[in-house]
Amino acid sequence: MSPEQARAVLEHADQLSRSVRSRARSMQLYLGVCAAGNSIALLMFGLVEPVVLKAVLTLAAVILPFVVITLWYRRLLVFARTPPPPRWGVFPYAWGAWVVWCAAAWIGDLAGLYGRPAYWLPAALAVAVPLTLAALRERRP
Amino acid sequence: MTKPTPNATHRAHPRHDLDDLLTHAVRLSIVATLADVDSAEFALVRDSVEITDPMLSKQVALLEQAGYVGVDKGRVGRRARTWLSLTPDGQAAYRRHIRALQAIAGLTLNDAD
Repeated sequence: MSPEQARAVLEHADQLSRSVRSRARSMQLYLGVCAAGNSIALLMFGLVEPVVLKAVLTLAAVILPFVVITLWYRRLLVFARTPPPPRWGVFPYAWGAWVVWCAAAWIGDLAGLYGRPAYWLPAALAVAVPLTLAALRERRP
Repeated sequence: MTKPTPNATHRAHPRHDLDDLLTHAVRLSIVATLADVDSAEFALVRDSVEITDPMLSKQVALLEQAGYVGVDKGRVGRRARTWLSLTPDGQAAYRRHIRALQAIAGLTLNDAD
């Protein structure tokens, strides 16, 4: 094999690796969408007035983004190199998000802050923090 | 100073570090496709390498037999999916092969085959 041939083979291999890697997705988007869903759910919980509508919208905001992103993720054709499953590293952040969500809802409920964006908007941002941190810690493809 | 034996001189050339299995262009392409990802679907590898299903199956079977590629079959909804991934042995072999190619590429034409 000549140096020219070796160079051509290396270039082709590198090109293939790069093109497939560019199509890979890590769990960043997955975690980001779940974080956004949690925040929207808290806003629905705090700002929507009729109780039934509040319950429906809150549940929808938690469940729908999670279901949609899970289905999308399962249909991906290529996955980024990530630590092997089970992904225990993400669990503390997921539990953290859940604890912050419950705490924010509980405090808002106890203090009678329903319908007051001055409380629910910052609370919604706080709820997004744990999963956003988890997303930022994910290795990029 | 001892004179190097003919055998030692012969082994010093980087071409001896090339992996026999990966000197085949299609197999090297398959491994390169999987080198920087966790796993990729059969159809994506087939389209990236631009070969047919039977050709990919044949080459993947050889790579799997050598312990270079892992094959996982599953379902997404009603669709059967086959996932291909590079094993640690496959990763190591690919890196060695690439290093050997880089060494050859760095040689002058007179030093090469």
